[in-house]
Amino acid sequence: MKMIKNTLFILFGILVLSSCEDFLDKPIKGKQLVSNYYSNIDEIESAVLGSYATLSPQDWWENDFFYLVGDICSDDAFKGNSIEGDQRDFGNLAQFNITPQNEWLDIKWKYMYQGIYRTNLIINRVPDAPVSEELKSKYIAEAKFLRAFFYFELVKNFGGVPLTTTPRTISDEPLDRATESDIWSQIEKDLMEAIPNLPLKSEQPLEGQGRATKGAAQAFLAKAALYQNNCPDAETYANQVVSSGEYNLNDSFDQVWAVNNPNGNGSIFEIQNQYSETFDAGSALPTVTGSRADGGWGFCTPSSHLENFMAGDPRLEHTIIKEGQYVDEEHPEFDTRPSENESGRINRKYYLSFADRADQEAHKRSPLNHILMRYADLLLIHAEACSQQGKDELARASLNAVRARVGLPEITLGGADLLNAIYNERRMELALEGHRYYDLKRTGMLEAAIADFVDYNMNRSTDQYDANNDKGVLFDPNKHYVFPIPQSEIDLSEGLLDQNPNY
Amino acid sequence: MPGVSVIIEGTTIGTVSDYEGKYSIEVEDDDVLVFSFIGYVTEKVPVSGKTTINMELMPDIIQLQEIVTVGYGTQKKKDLTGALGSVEGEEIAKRQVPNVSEALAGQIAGVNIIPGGGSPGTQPSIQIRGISSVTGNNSPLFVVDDIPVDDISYLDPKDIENIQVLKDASSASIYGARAGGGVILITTKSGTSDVLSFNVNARYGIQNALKTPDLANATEYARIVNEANQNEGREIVYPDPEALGEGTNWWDAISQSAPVYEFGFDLNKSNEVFNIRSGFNFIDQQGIIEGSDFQRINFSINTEVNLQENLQIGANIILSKNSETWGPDPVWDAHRVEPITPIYLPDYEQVGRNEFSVFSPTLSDVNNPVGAIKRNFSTVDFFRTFTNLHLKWSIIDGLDFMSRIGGYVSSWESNYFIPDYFIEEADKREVSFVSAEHNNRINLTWNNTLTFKRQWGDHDFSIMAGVITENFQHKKLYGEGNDLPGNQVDLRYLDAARTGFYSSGNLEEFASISMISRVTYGFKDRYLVTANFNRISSSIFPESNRTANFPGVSAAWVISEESFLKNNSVIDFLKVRAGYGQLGNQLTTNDINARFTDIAKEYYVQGAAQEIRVGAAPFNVGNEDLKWETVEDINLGINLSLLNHFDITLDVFQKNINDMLFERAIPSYLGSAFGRQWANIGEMSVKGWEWTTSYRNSWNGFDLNVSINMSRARSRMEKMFEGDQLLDGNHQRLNNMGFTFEGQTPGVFYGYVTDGVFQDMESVINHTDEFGNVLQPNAQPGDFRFRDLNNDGLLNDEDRQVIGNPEPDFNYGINISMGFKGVDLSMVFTGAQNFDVLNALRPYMEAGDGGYNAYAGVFDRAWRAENPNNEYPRLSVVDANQNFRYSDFYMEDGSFFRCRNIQLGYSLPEKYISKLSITNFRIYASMENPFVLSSFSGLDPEVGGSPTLRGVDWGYYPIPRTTNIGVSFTF
Repeated sequence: MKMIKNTLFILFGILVLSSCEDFLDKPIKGKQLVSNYYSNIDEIESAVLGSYATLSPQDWWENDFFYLVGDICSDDAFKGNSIEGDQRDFGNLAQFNITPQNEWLDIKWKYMYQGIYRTNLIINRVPDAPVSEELKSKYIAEAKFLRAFFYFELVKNFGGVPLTTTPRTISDEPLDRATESDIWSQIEKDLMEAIPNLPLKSEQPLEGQGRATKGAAQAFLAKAALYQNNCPDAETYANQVVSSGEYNLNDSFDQVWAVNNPNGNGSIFEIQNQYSETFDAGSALPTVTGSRADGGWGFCTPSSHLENFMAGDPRLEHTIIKEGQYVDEEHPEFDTRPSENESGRINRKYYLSFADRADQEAHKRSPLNHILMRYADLLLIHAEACSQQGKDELARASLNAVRARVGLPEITLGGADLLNAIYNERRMELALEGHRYYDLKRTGMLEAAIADFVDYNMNRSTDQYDANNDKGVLFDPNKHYVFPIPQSEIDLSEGLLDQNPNY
Repeated sequence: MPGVSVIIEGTTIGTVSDYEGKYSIEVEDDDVLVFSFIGYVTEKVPVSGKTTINMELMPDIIQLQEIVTVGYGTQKKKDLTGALGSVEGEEIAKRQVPNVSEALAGQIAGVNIIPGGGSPGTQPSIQIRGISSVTGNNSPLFVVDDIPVDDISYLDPKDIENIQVLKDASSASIYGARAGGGVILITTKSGTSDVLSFNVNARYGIQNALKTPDLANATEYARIVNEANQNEGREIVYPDPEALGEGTNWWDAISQSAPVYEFGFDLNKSNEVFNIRSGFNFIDQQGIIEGSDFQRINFSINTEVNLQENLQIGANIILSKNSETWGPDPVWDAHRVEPITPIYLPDYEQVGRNEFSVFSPTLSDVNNPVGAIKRNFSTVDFFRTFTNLHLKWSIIDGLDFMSRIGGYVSSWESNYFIPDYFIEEADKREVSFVSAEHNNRINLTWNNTLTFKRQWGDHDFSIMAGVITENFQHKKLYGEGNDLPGNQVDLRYLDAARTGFYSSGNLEEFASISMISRVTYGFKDRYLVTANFNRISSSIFPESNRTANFPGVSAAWVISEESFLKNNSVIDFLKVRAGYGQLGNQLTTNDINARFTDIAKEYYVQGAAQEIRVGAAPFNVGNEDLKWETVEDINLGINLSLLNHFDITLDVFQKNINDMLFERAIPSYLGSAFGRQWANIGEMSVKGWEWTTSYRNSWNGFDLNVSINMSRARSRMEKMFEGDQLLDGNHQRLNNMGFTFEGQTPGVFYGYVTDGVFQDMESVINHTDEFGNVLQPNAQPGDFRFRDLNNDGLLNDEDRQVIGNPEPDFNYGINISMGFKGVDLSMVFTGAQNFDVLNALRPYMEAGDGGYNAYAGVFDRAWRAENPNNEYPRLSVVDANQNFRYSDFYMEDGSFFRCRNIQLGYSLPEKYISKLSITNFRIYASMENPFVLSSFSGLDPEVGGSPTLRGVDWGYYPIPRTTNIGVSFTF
């Protein structure tokens, strides 16, 4: 009896004592937590790769689609798919019927900040990781390059945006908008800090191809300078790329966007794609912009305005596919399905022949890389920067290099005519690659271009497909040089974020 | 007193007192007279030569003396101060259902059993006093013989001694953080018979669909398609609809009349040293939709040994094995698939195809439902053991120690196989697929409690204190592979797979330690107070906040004990109660994971070879402070017994649920893109009442017991994150069927409002706003007129409003049982009044656009010039007016009155069976779910659902009607 009693009390005692923390400590299994990640080379490598992934997340709408906005908000293209209810908000962007509720602006904003968060984590956590200084600086340089790219995307669409260089938490004070120039400064700072620790394209090991290079950072620096009308810097950085000798225009124009020429001779930075069913990987753009009669969705169709502009230019046939045109053996008379296509045309640059498409019919992924910066773009940046500074000789050299590839005669103009020729060259060389709206914006030509586009379509055009399309009538120069900050973001800031004017 | 039965003990000889209360009977000197009257204490008086025996019967308050389980202890029923409901085991055992939850239907006010569907083996869900969480768990905590478990599917209803339901927080707070949905205490049977008794029972039943969908036949389908095309100026598709005849009735093709067998026995014996009860049960049930079945074998043994006068040890072990085949649930598809398609391909086209490919391709995107059934190979095998060992030690008089160890081990394996087949491009699988998943859960509980009870004069005092330790583990392992070399049964294992391998697995682990206590105090049996307290430390809680306290306090005043009511002839018992308490709604695994920001896989391509590499990035935005939802409730109640025959219980309550878990939008610079963050941000209230009245009486051997209960529990979202709304439920044709937002019941229906049908073009043009803008420019005569609710001249999403509420005004249950000379009849009814249901098949089945089949009669009733009406729009393949958008057109009253069970039994008189040493022999016939009265267009209005999406019929597998015959006997 007594023994039982004693035993029980001992048991009871043990039980009470057992309420120590060990018993209650049950960490989550099978998962890595961000709180103790970035602690070795594998984790850092994975995290950097994960930041690149933000350039083109898995699904078509997550980022790929927005790269078309530079075309649909210009005189180069329409929303394309004429079914009104199909991606209505995308059509609203093209029509300049833009509200802060537009879902595509929200999507762009969100994914760019996701990329910024990921790179901020790397930049802030890697310095404490037990890896060599050399590797640390390499990874941080890549992260800074990407962060600069993400802010570049934000500033060119929205103007000044909230600026953070640390991974924020919910308990931190809410962020107000920074000024546009603060964002540009941060972009330049990141790119300049990245340059010394990034490899040249030729130094990049085979397995690292496609990742950030010195040239890419310099090229975006040049572009950033040009966006700020800082022509001397733009010239300097562009020159650094040119003089590196890493890039050339040896690929013929039709090979620039060829699926079998990833990271070609003129490629400075591009989103790497591969088709994979298992990983849901690959670019959606070939399907999204494809003809609705050819397994595509019919978005972002080129205008006759662009076609006329490029009349006689050898690049035209590699830029636009027109209704009824011979394209390849499987498409001897191309069907753009005009009943659902605003302009009876599609973008040739993203077009894939049957042989290059994924096995599955109408599958929305493809292995086509998406070029974000190429040598011709860089040369035209250089040309523009030089021309603006009156260095016509240098400007002509770069301009004519671009023209020479496609067998066009040299331009001998000077002064304002030369600058105009450079602008025209940009439109043709880079047509339908997502640049036009931003180029018109930064050069102050947007209002005039849209006005001409509307006048052309409504009054002068006799085009069978897009005449009388009133896209652009809603354009308001007091408003549409930047997009509105997404309303959801303003709501969450409890009024801290100011909306862009007139939205 | 009239009607008192007077019987000579040990015989059937007897009489009944007359209207003056007089009686006379012939007796022997050594006989004993037994006086009995229902509601009064039975008295026995030896005759001992007396010629006149005057007897005064006392009202039977045994019912109130009854001891009930209240969680780690017991209390007298009359001393209860909280809101409890109870059901005796015999009521549970009476029902011919395979699970305990279903048997609770209609028994207790405020305890609603929501059927999960008629698929064999499906467990209904239980809701006590409405919902208590929106995104979390609404199921009550089950406590089987003092061990908390989250599953009771292994219990055989015949093994239950009784069930107590702790409805309010003042009584449930002893279970603290897990009791947010209320607590169901289950006590299993133990040995009670002093002679060895052996009970056997067996039944056989046939299940049939209670309601058959009335589908259009091939002729009507073709007429609908034709007219829908003609109305849009298109060519007709079927020149001769009559020639198509009936076509295929897909419902007949997938449904069947299905048998159910059950067999069981138990042994029971007790004496001073030990008691033992052991039971066995086997059930085999097939589904009324082909391709589903359920089998379960249960074995239990419950024993207790007195080691010495004040020391007992006992063990209760339950083993349960079941196998379930989960059907593909083709109810949804069998409705929609067009009747002109035959089930099978013609014989000559079947040549060269495998057995899974001989089905006809369909015209729509609905795949051949019979094909789906035939290639469904989804089985789950469960093995559960529940072991409960205890030691009771009476240290001194009034001081008891109890230690109990419970181990609940559940393992189940799911096997899944899809053969390769080809019916058409849209319905094919090029390579076969096989997967297996193994789950193992171990739940260990150790309770140690000390209870002290003492009475001093008028003071009645008890205190219980204890420590409860729990540890929970769930291990999971999953593997899949593709491309087996053949579809043969013996090849359906992962070893045979050749490509496409994938595996996953994990371990979840929780632990907690609770300090619990209860103090009760009673003064003169009139003034009663109970206080419960649970202080729990749990690994589930955030590190910063690892301990939580859950108090509960309640008091009662037994007014009938007061001198002014004592010996009152009308009121036998009257008690008023008030209680307050707090409970927790413990976090689920998902919530716990949401506390951390974890790393997910991301893919990016790099390198000259354009290889896909696996990268990593934060996946979500964790919230380290995430904690349980708190349920706070106030309860007021009355217990009243009247006129010896009536028992009335009335409770009113209000629950306030705070810190409710919702996902909130967060600024994008926190990096989660569209990901939201879980946080404790919502508030909800649930208000309601419960009322139970029971009546029992007996006349000349005819016994009657009637109990009626009614309850209401109406929830309202009081607060959500900054005007946020939670939308739930999408299919191709209706989006966001359930809306949850501030100021409304969670999961209300929200849509457009129709205003009749346009009869002519003029009324289309005249349907304008005040400035003359035509609101529905695409409409034609025969289309719905929708209301521009905000008068902005546009018909858009802003013109929607709440169009229905899924919560009923009240639920009710009716139990009737009666007996007369060996014949017994009992009935259970349940119902709910005035709530809305949405038959999600109607956008397909009534649209008449030819894409899918229709309900019979859709053709005849549709609007056309010759059949003008204001209820049903015209048929159209285009539907430019979007007649079938989400509107009040779909709202239906779900009110129903269901007979859950009706049963007629006959027990053979003892004189016939005693020679066979059988003490009881009963045969019975019964029907489970014999009828439902309801106007709902779907198969069954009681479709259940989650708090954010309730009352939506997605082609719900209907609960069958089961007709049983059975026998039970006792040696």
